[in-house]
Amino acid sequence: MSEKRYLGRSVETSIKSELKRVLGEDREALMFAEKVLEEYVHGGSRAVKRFLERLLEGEEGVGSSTEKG
Amino acid sequence: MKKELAVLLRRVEVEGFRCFRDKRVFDFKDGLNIIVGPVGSGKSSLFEAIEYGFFGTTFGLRRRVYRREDLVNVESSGLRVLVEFEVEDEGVYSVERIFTLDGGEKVHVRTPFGETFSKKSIVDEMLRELLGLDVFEYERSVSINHVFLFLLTYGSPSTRSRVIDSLLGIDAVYKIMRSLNVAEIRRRIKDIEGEAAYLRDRLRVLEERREGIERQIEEKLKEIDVKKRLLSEVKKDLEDVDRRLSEFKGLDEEYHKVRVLYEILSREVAGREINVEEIVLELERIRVRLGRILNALLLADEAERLEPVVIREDTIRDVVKLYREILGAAWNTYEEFSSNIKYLKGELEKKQFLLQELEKRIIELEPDVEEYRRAEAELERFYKKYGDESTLRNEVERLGFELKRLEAKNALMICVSRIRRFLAKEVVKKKEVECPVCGNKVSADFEKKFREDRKKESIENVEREIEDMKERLEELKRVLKEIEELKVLMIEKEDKLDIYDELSKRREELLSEIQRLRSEINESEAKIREIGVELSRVEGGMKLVTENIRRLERIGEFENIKKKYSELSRKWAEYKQLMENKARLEDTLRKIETEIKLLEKELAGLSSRDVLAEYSEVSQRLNEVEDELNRLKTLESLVLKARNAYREVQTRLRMEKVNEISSFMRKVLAELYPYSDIEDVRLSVFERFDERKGRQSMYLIEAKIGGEWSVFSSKLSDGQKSFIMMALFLGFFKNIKHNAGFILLDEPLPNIDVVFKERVFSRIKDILGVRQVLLTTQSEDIASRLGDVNIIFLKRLE
Repeated sequence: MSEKRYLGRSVETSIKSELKRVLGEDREALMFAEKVLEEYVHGGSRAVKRFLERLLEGEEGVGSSTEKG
Repeated sequence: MKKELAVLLRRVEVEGFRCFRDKRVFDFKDGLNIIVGPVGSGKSSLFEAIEYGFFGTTFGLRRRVYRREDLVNVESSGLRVLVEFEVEDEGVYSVERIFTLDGGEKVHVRTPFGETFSKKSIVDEMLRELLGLDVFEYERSVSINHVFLFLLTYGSPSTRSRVIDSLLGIDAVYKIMRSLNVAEIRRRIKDIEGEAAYLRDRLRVLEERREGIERQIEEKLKEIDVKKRLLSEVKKDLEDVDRRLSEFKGLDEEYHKVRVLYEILSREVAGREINVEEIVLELERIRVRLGRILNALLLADEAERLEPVVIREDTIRDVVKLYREILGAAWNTYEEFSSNIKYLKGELEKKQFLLQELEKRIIELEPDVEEYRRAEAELERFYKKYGDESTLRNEVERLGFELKRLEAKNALMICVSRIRRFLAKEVVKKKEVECPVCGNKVSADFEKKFREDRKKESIENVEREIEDMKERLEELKRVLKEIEELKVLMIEKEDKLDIYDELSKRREELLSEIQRLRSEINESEAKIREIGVELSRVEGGMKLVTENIRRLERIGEFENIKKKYSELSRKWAEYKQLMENKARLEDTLRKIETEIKLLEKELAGLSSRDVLAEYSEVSQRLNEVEDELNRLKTLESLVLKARNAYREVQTRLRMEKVNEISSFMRKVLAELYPYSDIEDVRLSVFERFDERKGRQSMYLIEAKIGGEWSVFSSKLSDGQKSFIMMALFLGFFKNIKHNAGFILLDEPLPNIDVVFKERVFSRIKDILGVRQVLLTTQSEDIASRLGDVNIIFLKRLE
């Protein structure tokens, strides 16, 4: 069964590309922004909010996206 | 000229889908395909069926305008959509989707190579690859919904911007930005900063307390050090004293022994001077007294022993010894005398006891004796008054006889009196009557005589005499009876009277004996008392003599002890001084040791305070809070960076897309717009700064009219707006790279005349560079004006 998406692949690619251009120097911020994008792609705005809540509560490390990256 | 795209629609079959209850088959050719039909005939539903066939969803489903079940015709139990499409150089594929209200959805793809796939994920991925589009991109390029057209034409600038973003697929950037809200993070940071500030304050307070305690510890340690040095010096002094005290070993005991002896002897030799003459004189006085005592005690033998005694200084002790012996004998005899007196007293007590018992008995008998004597006196009184018993009995007998006689006389007198009363009455009536007793005649004189006799002989007098005699007789009888009773009583009490008399006699004798014993005891006691006084005086003299003799002996002994005591006292004073020094030093030692213990205890208390523990705890908590604060600030920083980055990305993507779309819009205007009033058209992005939201960018659609650029909505007609929006749509189609060789336009040019539409429709395929265009219209006559066109007519289902 295909995964539900909240964003088209080409736009996702474009956003990623632009994020790299904007945050190219700040690797940590870039990874974070990409993680946010990933959350949105698979769960929409609510997933992003939940992701932020998890970060806020410390259930997920701030640097986890960096580490994963 | 761009190469035409590869995927083309060939056939669509629908059944039970939206308004298509029955099966309908639509075939599509290359070039222009126009679907003509009135409102509600299924034009838009056909485009929805194509999207559903490719992606299993629709614009309305994705936005939850309706449910999947709503796709099914109201009279059907399920739907079926089949889309056949040709992929260049490969052949015709078909995708079939069947959805039943009770069985869910099934999908099949058949490839030109005879393969069939029915797994949804594989099918979706295959179709996405073949089209080069996902559903989002499809809806933003191949099949733009007319809702967007309306919003773009008539919406506000911000709505228009969001719609354009949505069509460009970059509305997600805006949504992500909005999701990256730091308000909660900042609120949490503020809370934690508050806690951190409190913890820092608490830490500072604890630090101050800790420093205070450390200062106290340092002071206590110094104080302990000083005390320990002092303690060492005192111990040293104490050792010196102990060493010196060892020289006086045994002194204390010896000193106290001598001192006691000295004090005893002092007391013994204290007082006036003692000489031998006084002792001799006292012994002479004792001899005289002893002589008197011995005579009184009738101890002639002992008295003879006193006769030859010579009292001199050299015989004093022998005389004292002899006196003691004689005095002992005198005391013994004195004791015997005393014992005899005690015996006599015992006898006296016995007799007194007997007397008491006798008197008790006599008192008990006294009522009987009293009674006897009272009876005796009463009897005597009766004899005197009535005579003896014999006289009394004779008188009683006589009175009895006389009484009987009088009673008979009285009875006769009564009878005669009654007869005479009868005769008197009868005589009064008859003048003469016969006596019923004697038969004699009684005349009227009888009545007169009767009255006179009545006066002479009174029956009442006889009866009074009888009564007096009766009383006398009763009295005498009672006296006789009482005499008998008194005699009986006297006989009964006679024995007790005898005992009483005997006891009374014995009491008199005892009283006499007691009197004699008392006299004897009094005399003996007087004598023994006198002897006792003399003996006590002799004893006192003997004691004095003995003490004086002992004192004479002790005086010599005392002089020696006095000398020794003086010497020991000197040493003892020195010893005592040393002992006092020792006690003082030991006291100081204990005091210092106590002070040291107290200080050490205070020190332990200071070091064990909870301050350090709390300091550590608060410090640890502060570290945790600061770590959390850093983490949140890092998070805030990252979120802000990300949000700013997304805002930047939004602007960049907008600008990047805008240039391409704007260029294509200008091309569409130049080639398809038949008039000259709109000189140019452009889509641009402008940025503005909002104090609350920061830097923002917005789209601006402008048209150049009369040499001046103005916002397209301000000066253009609805038809002109529709055309520009269609140009914009086409720009979106061109903006996305994909494999779709077709475009679907749902009523693209409302409010536009037929000529204008013909111009647009006939050239749109070439402008876009696609091989197939599917568009819907309500205008049937447009079809007849176009040449090689596949026209599909739809009728409204009634």
